[in-house]
Amino acid sequence: MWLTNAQGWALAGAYVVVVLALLSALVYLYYERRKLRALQQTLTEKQHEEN
Amino acid sequence: MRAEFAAWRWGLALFALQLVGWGWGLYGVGTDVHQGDVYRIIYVHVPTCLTAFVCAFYLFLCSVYALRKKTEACLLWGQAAAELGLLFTVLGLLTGSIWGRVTWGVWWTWDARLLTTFILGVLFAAYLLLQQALPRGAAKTKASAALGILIFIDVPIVYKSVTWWRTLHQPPSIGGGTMSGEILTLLLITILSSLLFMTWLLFARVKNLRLQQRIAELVSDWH
Repeated sequence: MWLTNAQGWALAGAYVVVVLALLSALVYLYYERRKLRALQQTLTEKQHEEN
Repeated sequence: MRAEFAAWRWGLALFALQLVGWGWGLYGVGTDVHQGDVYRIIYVHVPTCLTAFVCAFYLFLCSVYALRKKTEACLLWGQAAAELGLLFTVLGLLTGSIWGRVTWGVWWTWDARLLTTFILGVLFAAYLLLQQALPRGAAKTKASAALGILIFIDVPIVYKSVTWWRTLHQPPSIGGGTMSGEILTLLLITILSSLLFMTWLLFARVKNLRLQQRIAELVSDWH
């Protein structure tokens, strides 16, 4: 089992950094899209109301 | 909500594919005789570095297109490619640094491979700053495209740095002929899954940037 020595902890650290970074990128894009869609819808509705 | 989630299934599937590759790398393949278990970092380190190179290639294509067609339409693609390039370069440097601490005894050294990769990261950051700093127009398109092409020139220098100069970093992992078939196969799978995931992220980011642009146009029309 590789997680029983210092090398193993370094290895685990490297994998955790990459997994968290890429997962964060995915989640960030998802919530950014939701926020932008909601904003676009609100703006379009307000424009229609004014017209 | 359900329809919105459906569009993200591909992203999740590609991320899951990466997790499978990494899990296989940690538990499915044998230990290296010379380096021990720490060699398994190659399954995250090599794919992140190569993915950063491919981001630079995408940026190069956008830049050449922008210069030839004299259009700023592909600047959004360039921005997304530079953002992802910066992310993957930083990840490559971090994982390489962890590997270096275990195998060389130092987190960082001014080695040719490390330095040229660091420069690649700085150039990606410079590209993003330049895009933010300049107003829309022909000057921005030209300056961004020129920097985009310059960034790609750094890629072969990074790749060949271990053979052109005497470095601490080992020679290129792929093509050296010293890797066992099992390790090489898994490495190629992790590289492919990383490239696919990055390409998916690129499309998702460009879609968001276009949406941002449309919202900005809506607001300016309103005022």
